[in-house]
Amino acid sequence: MEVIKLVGKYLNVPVGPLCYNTDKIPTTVLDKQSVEGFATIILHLTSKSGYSMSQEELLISYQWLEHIAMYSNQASSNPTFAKNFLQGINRALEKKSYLTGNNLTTTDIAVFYVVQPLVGNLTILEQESLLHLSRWCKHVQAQPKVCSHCAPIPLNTLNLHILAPAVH
Amino acid sequence: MKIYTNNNNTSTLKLLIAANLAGKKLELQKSTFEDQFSGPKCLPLLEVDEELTFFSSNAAVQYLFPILDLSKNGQCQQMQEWEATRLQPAVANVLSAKTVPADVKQVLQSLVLVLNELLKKHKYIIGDKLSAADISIWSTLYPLLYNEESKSYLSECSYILQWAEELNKAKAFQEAVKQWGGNPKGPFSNISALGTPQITNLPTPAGSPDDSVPVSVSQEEADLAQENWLNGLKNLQAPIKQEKLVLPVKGRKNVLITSALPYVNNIPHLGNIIGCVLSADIFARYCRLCDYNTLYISGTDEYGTATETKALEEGVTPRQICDKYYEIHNSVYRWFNIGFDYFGRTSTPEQTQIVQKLFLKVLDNGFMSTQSVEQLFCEKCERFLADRFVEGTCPHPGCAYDGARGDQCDKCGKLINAIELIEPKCKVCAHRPTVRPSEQLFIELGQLEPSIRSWISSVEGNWSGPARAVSRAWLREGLRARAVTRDLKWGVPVPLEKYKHKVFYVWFDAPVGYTSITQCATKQYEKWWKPDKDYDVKLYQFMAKDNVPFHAIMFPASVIGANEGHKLVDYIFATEYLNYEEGKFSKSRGVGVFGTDAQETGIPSDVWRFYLASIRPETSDSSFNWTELCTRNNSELLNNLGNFCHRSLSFCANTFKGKIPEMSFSNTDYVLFALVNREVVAYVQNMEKGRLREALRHVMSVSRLGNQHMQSEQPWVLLKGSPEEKIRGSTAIAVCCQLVALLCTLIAPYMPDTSRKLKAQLNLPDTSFRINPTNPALFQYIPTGHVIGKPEPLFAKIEQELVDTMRAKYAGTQAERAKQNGDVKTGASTNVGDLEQAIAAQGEKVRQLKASTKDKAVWQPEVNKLLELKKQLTAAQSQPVSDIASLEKAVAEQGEKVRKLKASTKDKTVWQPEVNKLLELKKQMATAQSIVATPANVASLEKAIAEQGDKVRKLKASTKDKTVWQQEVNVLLDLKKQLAAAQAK
Repeated sequence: MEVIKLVGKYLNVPVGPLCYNTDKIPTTVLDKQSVEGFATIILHLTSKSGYSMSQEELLISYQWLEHIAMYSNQASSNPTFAKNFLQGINRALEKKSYLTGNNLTTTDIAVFYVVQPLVGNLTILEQESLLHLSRWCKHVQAQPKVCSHCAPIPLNTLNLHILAPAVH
Repeated sequence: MKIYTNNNNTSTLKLLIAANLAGKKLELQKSTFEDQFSGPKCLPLLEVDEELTFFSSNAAVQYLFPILDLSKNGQCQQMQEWEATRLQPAVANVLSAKTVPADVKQVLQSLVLVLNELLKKHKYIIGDKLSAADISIWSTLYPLLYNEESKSYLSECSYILQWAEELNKAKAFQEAVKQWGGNPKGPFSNISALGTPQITNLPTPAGSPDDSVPVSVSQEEADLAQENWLNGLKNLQAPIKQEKLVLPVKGRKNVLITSALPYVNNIPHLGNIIGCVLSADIFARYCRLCDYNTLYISGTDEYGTATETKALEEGVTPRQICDKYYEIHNSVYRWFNIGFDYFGRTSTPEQTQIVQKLFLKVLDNGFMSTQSVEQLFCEKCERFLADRFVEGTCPHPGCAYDGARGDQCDKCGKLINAIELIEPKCKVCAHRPTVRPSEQLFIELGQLEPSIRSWISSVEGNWSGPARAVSRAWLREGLRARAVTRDLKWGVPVPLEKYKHKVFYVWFDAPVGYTSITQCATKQYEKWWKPDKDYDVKLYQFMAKDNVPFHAIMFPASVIGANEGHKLVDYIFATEYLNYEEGKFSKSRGVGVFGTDAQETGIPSDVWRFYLASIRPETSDSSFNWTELCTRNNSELLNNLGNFCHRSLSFCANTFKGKIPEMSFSNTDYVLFALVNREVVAYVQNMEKGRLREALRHVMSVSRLGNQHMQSEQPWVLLKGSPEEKIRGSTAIAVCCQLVALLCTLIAPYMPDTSRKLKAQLNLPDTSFRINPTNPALFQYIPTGHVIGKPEPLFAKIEQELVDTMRAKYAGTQAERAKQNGDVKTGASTNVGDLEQAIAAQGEKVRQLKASTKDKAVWQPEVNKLLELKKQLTAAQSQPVSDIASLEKAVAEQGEKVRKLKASTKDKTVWQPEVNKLLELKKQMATAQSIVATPANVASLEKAIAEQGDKVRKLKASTKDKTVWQQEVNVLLDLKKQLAAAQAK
């Protein structure tokens, strides 16, 4: 829920009367229509912000957001689970700059907000083992407006500096 | 395009249907989660080409079958997300569970009803067109639709059935099912290596074990319980005579227990306490319950660099540090009710003697060698510097932290070799040390390795998991020679002329401490440590895992090398680490809750002992948490154990005037006994293996069984009924009282105070509360007709507010806390008035403390604080008040005083001292002014000149009156002169 609000802030789009319904699914009303589900809301917000995606991009975005919606609750309550969860994302980022390919999209922002506390809780060595994820986090949090409400994750360890250098 | 999938995965069906509908050709390939794909481990995976893959089956379906235009407000996605996050987990849970929990059933049913409503309005899920959502949902529901067993979930949903049947007729669907080749009866594979997603609106994870499942007890178990009940007391082992300090007894089990010697450099924290002394204490108390002949030894480990560093820090000798912290340790352990047979220390002559003897023996046997080691030597202090005595710049590239210690850099955490430090500095005198070779003695662990290996393989089966893991890791790398001597002053001196300025490494001498401390306790210590063969002596050692290498490898190696029949450890019960609210406890940095803090909370020591035992890090690291402490106390001690004991005994006291009534048992009672016996057996088994946390769980289960029994029998109803019912009611109460006695025994190792209270309430002597370790069971603890004492509540509730204040209070490090508390008192206030006030307050505190207790350890720190304050005051008073303004004021006041005195009296002796003071003050003022007048700092002068110049320019601009600005100009000129002088210097 917080993540949706943050994404809304990032996109500068109102999120509407956001709340959990009786089944603990985030729900809101956008354009006089009730919208339900994490992924769906984020995609709605993205299209409202005027960003248009190709079909392929949209589907990849959807699949990531769906993945987050399915597993993020468990990841935030169980550190071991979180590690496996982050490893999956790390593997995906091995060959890509961003989740949806070579461009930063709202999906990256949304996933980043979900992942941020999880990565922040890792030890330095664990962060170093999730190299691609750490690199991606560094890039995303260096974007303007992403970390306006919170401090970025400190990822300035020696190995990360060498292996995943400079933020562009 | 390719699909990678595992067996019988309904999500794969989605892809096949979509491909068929779109007329695309797909290739199926079997795969597992372990195959290396980029992205999360989810199956099926659709690979379009090398660049594009989908791990989400729903996204893949949309990709394959994009018939419905996607711009339609994302309705299709919304339904698919609904499918992925809600329908799929519910279905998967239902299909994978053997017995489906009621709440999951309910969730699925409500989901299906939603679907039914949708299909009632339209032909398809979204409007009147077939969409990707239909495909996804149909596939997920497939097992429910076509398996006889689970059809019942959909039986009332006629619209779903109709819709499903329609789709099933389509050729694309039928073909897809054929290609899929799965079985609707399952078993189905997971869609992700992460498992099934949680069902969002269930409070607990689905499928948790059901409490109401009836447990079955076989007839034999019940018979055995009856036998134990009748004869258990008779079959108990002969009690052991309690003497002041026991020696091994022939023909009995003799247990020698040690806990890792706590290091003296600081107050012990909760992690240290549960890691060694408390665990060992619980175990020792348990052994005494079983009438093992038990000796529990511990003490403080006092030699080593850390002591010297600490002594340096506090500006006293190492001996004084040891004395101070020995007292603190001792009082902390006393508060925690740690029942050592003897609590000694390692800095004793006995220690020196035994260590030197051991060393000479190992040397004689040829297991020592000499090597020259490059070390840093401080010429000013005239000594070699231990790693922690050197500071410098971290040599690791990119770090360059300038406060790195000789052994490790605090910033990057990497290990450092002291001689690699850039710009090394002696911590004592800040002098730059030089590298010099120093000859050290080494023990040849490599030569001893074979004997160590064969010994470890014969005993390690008894060790705890962490102990085994650590010792195996060490052996895997192979053993190398290790230095036993070093260039320090504080330690056991090496008894060789050539090495007389060196001492033994603390790892070599500390494990000898157990023996030397026993020697301090009894002259016959060798009966424990070098026992005759016909005595059964078992050595149990408790420690945290960081101490394992010394107890499992290095010390045994020294002892084997000496070959003098010294006792080797039989059981190592090591623990992992205890964390503090997700952070780390740290003695050296002062993070966490310390022994002394626990006292201040006002929470009884038994509650601390119970909580620490219940989070004992046995298999993995665990963490201390204030909220958990509170809930454990309230829910387990208060509501479970305390409630049961108090209720049972009160019943007995109120209805039978405290007399234990006659019992006549039925089979249900023996079934209860059998269930209780299971717990008691598990308790003993776990205790014997050093799994104290597990054992404690079984204690709580006994209490839970008791509560259940009370609740199901309802003696308060029975006692009002027919004569037979009355007998059943009184039996129930008697049984509960016996269970209380059993509990009183079982909790004794964990909560000695509570157990003592309970014994008094039961009005029975200590000797009645014993356990038979060979046949652990409930027997008749209380004789019929025995009159019990006055029942009282055992535990008090801990309020959440208390916990919140505690958490806030103990956040941060000790130093930070001290700073917060002491801002007013000690915060470098040179103000004399403030100091005087603080001293008065502190003095009062000390007086009160001394009056209330005789325990020196309690008031000593306060006294020290007081002394410190007084010192500050004298310093502040003697210090000339260098502030000019205050000096001027002082001069004025003093002048006034002198004038008045002179006016009132002519006696010179009266006013002369005051006049002298006045003169003194004037002199001070003059010097102070001269200091201010000549600020030697060039930069500040330049600034002053610039400012003054500005001022002059402005004045000149505003007026032509020379008298106005002449003065400022003079000041400016003066400043310029000063600058010239300063620069010339």
